[in-house]
Amino acid sequence: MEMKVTQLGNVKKIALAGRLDLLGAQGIDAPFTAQAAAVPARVMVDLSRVDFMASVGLRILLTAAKAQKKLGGGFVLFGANAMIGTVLVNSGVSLMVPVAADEAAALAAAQA
Amino acid sequence: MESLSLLPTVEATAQLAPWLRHCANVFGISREVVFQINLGLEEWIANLLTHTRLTELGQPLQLLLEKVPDGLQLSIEDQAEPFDPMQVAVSPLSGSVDDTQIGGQGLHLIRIFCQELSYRPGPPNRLVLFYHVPA
Repeated sequence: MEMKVTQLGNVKKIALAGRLDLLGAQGIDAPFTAQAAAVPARVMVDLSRVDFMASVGLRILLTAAKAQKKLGGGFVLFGANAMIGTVLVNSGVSLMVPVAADEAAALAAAQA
Repeated sequence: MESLSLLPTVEATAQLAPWLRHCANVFGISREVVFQINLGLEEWIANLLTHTRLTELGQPLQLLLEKVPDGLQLSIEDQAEPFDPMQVAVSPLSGSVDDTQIGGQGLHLIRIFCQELSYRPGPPNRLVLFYHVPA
């Protein structure tokens, strides 16, 4: 998995790429959590280049969302392909974590 | 019929995606169905690695994907102690992100994304997942 972090004003955009499966999660968990959940921040996570996501990936995203809620920050997902979108819906994650339609909507939601 | 023998380690799961790409070519299945089968495989292997002594035993998993009427059948055999997914209550996450208990989604996703599931304790234990593939 790859991760790219960009600061957009007061919002931190974290773009993930690759497979968020058992192996991918093993490599990305610590660096992602350090960026997304260590300090209060308004975080938007770009999933547009993520090809696959299993529950291990959901766990990483939810843990960060939960941490930001406690820290008083924000956490928004966007860019999921149709199949990953189905995983987010069927797991119940989309009821707990905002999922924006596109990057502009994610940025607006993160700044809100 | 396509098969794969897989060592019970996280590193070995790197073989799943290429194997499924090969299976997709052989069976002519869509990316959506490949994704669903991949999810079933990942989640089941994650459960076995987490909840059984499979890694310690070191016995490979035997994967088999075959065409059956109206779809594809995925079989996963393991030599660990039985872990019956039918005996585990699962549900989607609910409530707020503050108080949700993270975890347990794997079995729920397996059930959601396949059309039939059966389990036979062994040895070898055998999980069978059926995926409907429109003609």
